[in-house]
Amino acid sequence: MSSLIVDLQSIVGKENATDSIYDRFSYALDPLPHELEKALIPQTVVRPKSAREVAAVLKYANDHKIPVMIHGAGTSFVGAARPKRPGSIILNTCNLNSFEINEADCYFEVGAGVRLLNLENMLRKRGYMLPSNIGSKKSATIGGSVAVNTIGHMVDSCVGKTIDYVLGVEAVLPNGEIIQTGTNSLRRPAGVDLTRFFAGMEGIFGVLCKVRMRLLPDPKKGHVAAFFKDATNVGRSFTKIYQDKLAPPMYGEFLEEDACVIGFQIRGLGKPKGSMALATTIAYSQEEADRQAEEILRVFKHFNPVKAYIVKSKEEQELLWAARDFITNLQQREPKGTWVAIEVGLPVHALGEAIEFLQKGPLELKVLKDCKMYIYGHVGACSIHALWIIPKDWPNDMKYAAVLESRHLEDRMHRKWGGIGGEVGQMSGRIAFYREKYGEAAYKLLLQLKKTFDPNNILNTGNLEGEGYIEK
Amino acid sequence: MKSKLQALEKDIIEGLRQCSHCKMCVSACPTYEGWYTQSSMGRLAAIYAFLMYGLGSEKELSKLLFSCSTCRRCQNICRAMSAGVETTDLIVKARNLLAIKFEAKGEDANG
Repeated sequence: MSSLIVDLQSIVGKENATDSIYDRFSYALDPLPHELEKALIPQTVVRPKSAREVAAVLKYANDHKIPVMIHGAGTSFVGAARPKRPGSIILNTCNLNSFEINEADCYFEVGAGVRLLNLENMLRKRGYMLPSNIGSKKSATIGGSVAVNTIGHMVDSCVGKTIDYVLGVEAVLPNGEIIQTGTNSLRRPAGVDLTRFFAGMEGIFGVLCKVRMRLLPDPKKGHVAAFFKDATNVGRSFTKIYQDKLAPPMYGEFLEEDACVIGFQIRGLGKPKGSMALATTIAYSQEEADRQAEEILRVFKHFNPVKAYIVKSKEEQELLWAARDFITNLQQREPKGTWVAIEVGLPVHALGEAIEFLQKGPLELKVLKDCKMYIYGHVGACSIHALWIIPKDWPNDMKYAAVLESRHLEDRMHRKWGGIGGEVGQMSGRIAFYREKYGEAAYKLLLQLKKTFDPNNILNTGNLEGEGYIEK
Repeated sequence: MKSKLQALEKDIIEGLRQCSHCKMCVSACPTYEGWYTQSSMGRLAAIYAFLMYGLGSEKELSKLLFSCSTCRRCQNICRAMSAGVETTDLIVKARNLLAIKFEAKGEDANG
């Protein structure tokens, strides 16, 4: 047994640190299709139970200059969770699983390792909504959602971003110091608030251990569905919703007809009648939510749908939305294979154009050109995905080339329309575009900030440098 | 015997490559107590590490695979929400693979 595992077991307990090869291997895996490099299999996996244990692990790693990768569920599809340097420690947050609700003061405190779906259920049964709905919510954690500042499928213009609900955090710095930020009041600090260094900075400055968030009463909802022969009309509809000054819906989902098929099949909905648009409106009163739904229906009808209607039956609503849930992984079934995906943030006017651009098949694609492509996304949130099914038997270098090519296309679309990803973070596989978009001065500032917080560069090492995804 | 083993290995690897490590099966596993290897995802990863990377030993892998209850919750979840990987079937196939290997050496796959 190495001294590393002995030392770490003395910090977190024997049952919470392992150097078993199969544990180490499994915690380094993510959804990307290319193989993990053998040299990057981590040395150990630890699962501390408290901020104090996290602090002791980080102090140890810092003293010994060992890279530490924070692991919520490892579901990032831009490579953020993959170890980038040999000999790393995986710090799994699953034991940071506390939950306390303070209804008198309208907030809750939650451990970073609590799964989003569990948190959503705990809040819902008390009449509150979790302002985050990620495709991987069954496995992904609140720590990951806050660290990346993603609300997933929800519409920013309606709900805000996750950090808009964060009142404060408990975080551990790379040198092992524990800090508290923010407030217990719904009145968030004006001016300097260190919360922002941990909520939304992808874990490069510290490990989130606990998050305090505002309770959001579950609103009343209205639901609209529409099917279009021309998928671009889904995008144009959501553009018009904004341009008509309507209240943006909480969800504004789009699935091209092909992308609907598997979800419809699984939920017993038959054959889709075209490309699908789904919208969920929210308001304090049912009357207002219904009125907003009628307004959105009017917009959908303006674009000549095959069918557009208010979804009144709870059963149908649940089935339609369930047909959309988990769509990224479901697409892998037909044809069978693994996947790469892009996520493009767009300006309001370009929603229809971007769908058309992808439908035509971007000409620069060489590796992905013969792969089945699905187009879908959170068009109401000005965000679109394309996903390609990669044959399982492709050699690893082709799978890696597919990942890079998808990144290049995403970059090109962001360049063309001026957006940036709004769902899965900016580092790791995306850092090259980040540098291009914001310039070397901005990137240098990030590196300097990183050095201030983490002089030995032990935390999520290699993500800010884009290691593994920079052109060779 | 060799060709039977090779065919079984190929079949298992083909199935494992369908898994995109979404981890939706993890918390559904009745044997899961906080380590991925106590769930279907981790067991499948272990089989992959053994077959494709040559990592670990037959004994270690066997211990993991025989800790699966074969209740098929993971397979049902993957069918309903994810890539449709035949998770439990793959674990059972890998058990068979190990059994053949152990038999050839005159050992017991189940420890």
